[in-house]
Amino acid sequence: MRVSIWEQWSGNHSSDFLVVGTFATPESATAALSILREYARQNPVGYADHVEVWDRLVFLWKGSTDYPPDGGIHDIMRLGGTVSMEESAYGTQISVVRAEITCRAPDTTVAITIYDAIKAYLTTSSILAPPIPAPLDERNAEDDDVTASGAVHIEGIQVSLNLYFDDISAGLPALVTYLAKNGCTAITYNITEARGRG
Amino acid sequence: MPDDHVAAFAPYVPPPLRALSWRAHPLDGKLLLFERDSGLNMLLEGEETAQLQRVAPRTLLIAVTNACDLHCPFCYRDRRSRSLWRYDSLLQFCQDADHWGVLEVAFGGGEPMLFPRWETFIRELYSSTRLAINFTTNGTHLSEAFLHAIAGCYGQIRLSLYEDNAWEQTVALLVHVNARFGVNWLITPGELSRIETKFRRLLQLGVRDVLLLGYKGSDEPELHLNPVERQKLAAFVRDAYARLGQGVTLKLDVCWGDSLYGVPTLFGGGDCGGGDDFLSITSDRRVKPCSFHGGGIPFETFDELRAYWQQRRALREAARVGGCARLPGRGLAATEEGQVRLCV
Repeated sequence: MRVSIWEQWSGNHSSDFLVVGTFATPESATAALSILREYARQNPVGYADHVEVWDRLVFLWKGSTDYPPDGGIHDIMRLGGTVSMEESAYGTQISVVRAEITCRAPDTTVAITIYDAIKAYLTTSSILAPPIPAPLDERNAEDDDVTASGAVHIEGIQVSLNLYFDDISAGLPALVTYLAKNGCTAITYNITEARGRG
Repeated sequence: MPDDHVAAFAPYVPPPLRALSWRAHPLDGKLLLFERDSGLNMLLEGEETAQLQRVAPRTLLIAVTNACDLHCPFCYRDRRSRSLWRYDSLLQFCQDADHWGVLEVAFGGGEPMLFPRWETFIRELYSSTRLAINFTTNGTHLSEAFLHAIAGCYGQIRLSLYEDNAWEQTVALLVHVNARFGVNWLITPGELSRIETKFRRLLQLGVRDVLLLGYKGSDEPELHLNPVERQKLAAFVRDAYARLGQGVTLKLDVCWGDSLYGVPTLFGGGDCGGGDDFLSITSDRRVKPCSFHGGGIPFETFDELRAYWQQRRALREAARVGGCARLPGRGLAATEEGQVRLCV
């Protein structure tokens, strides 16, 4: 049987899975990280290529495979985390992980400054455009480029963002650091999974 | 039955794709699987599919209205045609198409955004059928609220690029709301001269899907590309693909036929599929092999439409206009001065 697969609409990722586990506290996420890394070490084939943690999130990657990392997903759930999965196959984005971020700017001037900076970035952000520019990208210069797309909204001093990062494990921390450095407080984030490009 | 095909051929579907909501569309000797939310297609071809026969076109191109707020000189629609579709009749028609086995509807016109209760229509059609819903628009009536309201209920929005429709603003809006869209770009000799600059601008704005259209018509032969210009366009496509790879989807109008030498294609050449793979439905309830055919056959019932397709799908009828890929030389010839001459 000859099988040809193509997509009619756009997609720009290779065959990969990204599992994001959201835990109640940074401590429980860090505890889960140790366990998941040990599972990955014991199962070098078919579990995960990398496991990392940031704040309350655990990121688990598995690439170039035909099978989702079910073991990792079940373990995250068993350890008390909720799972969001980003999946792409054959050039098609099947699901994406998005981040809903909210914070309170110190005043409306800062809120507008943040809005303008992020809006300007999102307007030009693309796979061909520069990555998240300074001061948004607070990571090391040698890190890989990260791009984001989505929307930013302000209402008074309340800033809301709904973003898709091509690497959420790098992009979300960078953005949160940027918001904090601008004096924002009450920074929250919520991880969601959306079908398609989201 | 198509759903039985999905189950029967599931073992051939790669494991990570098996959970998708595939829909089967038998072709002559092949099986096409399609998933409307991702736009993913899978073509199965082998001894196991040899006995299959096509039962319906893949796509219906439907002019929902003949009304439009622009007056483009190259527009192919018959301005005298009436707009006979109403909300209920169009919904029923599309539901019948879904039952027939059609996979996608592509709405145009006229300007579909002018169709009454368009937003509600899209949502109801999505929830009541398994059709992928696409529409082509000049973009002047798109709004953030509308795009949010139809999110998740459409396949793709095609935005036409014109001189007078402020497409940069519309692209920015579509990117802003993360809409799934591509642009339709008519490549005339004038556009060819600025194709690099405009293409770069499209990429900067966030466009990742570009359909390059050729002019079809006999009224304004100067809008056709001459052989040298077609070579330039082909070189542009080859170069863009080499530079961007799969980062940007480049689509070529089927009406180019094999006239763009050396461009990379998914499946190579072949017939355009007009009248078989797709049918064109006019705003006054006539059916044609494609949008560029004149006249058309009036129909009242869906059975009449089905009969038209069954009787005429194999005819491979050419549109009698310059630029049709089914005409020898696409109905065009070059003069000694290198200009385009119609020979339809």
